[in-house]
Amino acid sequence: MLRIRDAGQVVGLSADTLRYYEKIGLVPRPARAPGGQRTYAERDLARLRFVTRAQAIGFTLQEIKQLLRFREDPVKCSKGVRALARRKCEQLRAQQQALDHMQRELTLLLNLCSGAADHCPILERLEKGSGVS
Amino acid sequence: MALDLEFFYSPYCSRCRKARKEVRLLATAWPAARLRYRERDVLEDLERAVAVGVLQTPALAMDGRLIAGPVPSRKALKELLRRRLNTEG
Repeated sequence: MLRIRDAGQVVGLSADTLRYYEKIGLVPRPARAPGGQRTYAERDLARLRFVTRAQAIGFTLQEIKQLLRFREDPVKCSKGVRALARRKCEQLRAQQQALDHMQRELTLLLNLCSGAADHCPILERLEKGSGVS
Repeated sequence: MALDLEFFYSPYCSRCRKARKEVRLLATAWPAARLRYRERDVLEDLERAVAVGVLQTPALAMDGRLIAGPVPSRKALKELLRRRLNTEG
């Protein structure tokens, strides 16, 4: 059984984050020591690891809540998990496209900058700001 | 259908001035019904420039596709336009 600080270290989260996850219902309330401190069992840590892994591949806390519900019955819920994962893939692809666009825009502005001795196209673009979503 | 030719330039780029003059001269020699020529200041039209893939100026795109590398020389561009427009009839 681990205290909150040690549990946080094991899963790479701060004590505040663990309390927050508990508050929003992402993880159940852990057992308490006689002094009232939270104590984390291996089962709690496994759930927290699940959360951090899901976050690492882009799932939001809301989606992770759903995944945790699916986790209770993986066979019955595999269709739901796949749908969620597919939606996430599409979101990531859209984000990637947006990032590529931003990178190309910045590259062009940087290249323009090197040819402009007394102007700054980057600042000029930011002043005008048209078309940037 | 007319061929779309877009010339991308920046007002601060010295190489753009010469290239712009040459490309304009060649492009406007063709009737507008065959070749639709547009000059785009990338700072005014950044979204279009980025969508086409322009990373530096001057740059040229045909039918929305960027011509790789530097803007072709006058001779090379003349030949390129002749080939493209003759193929298209």
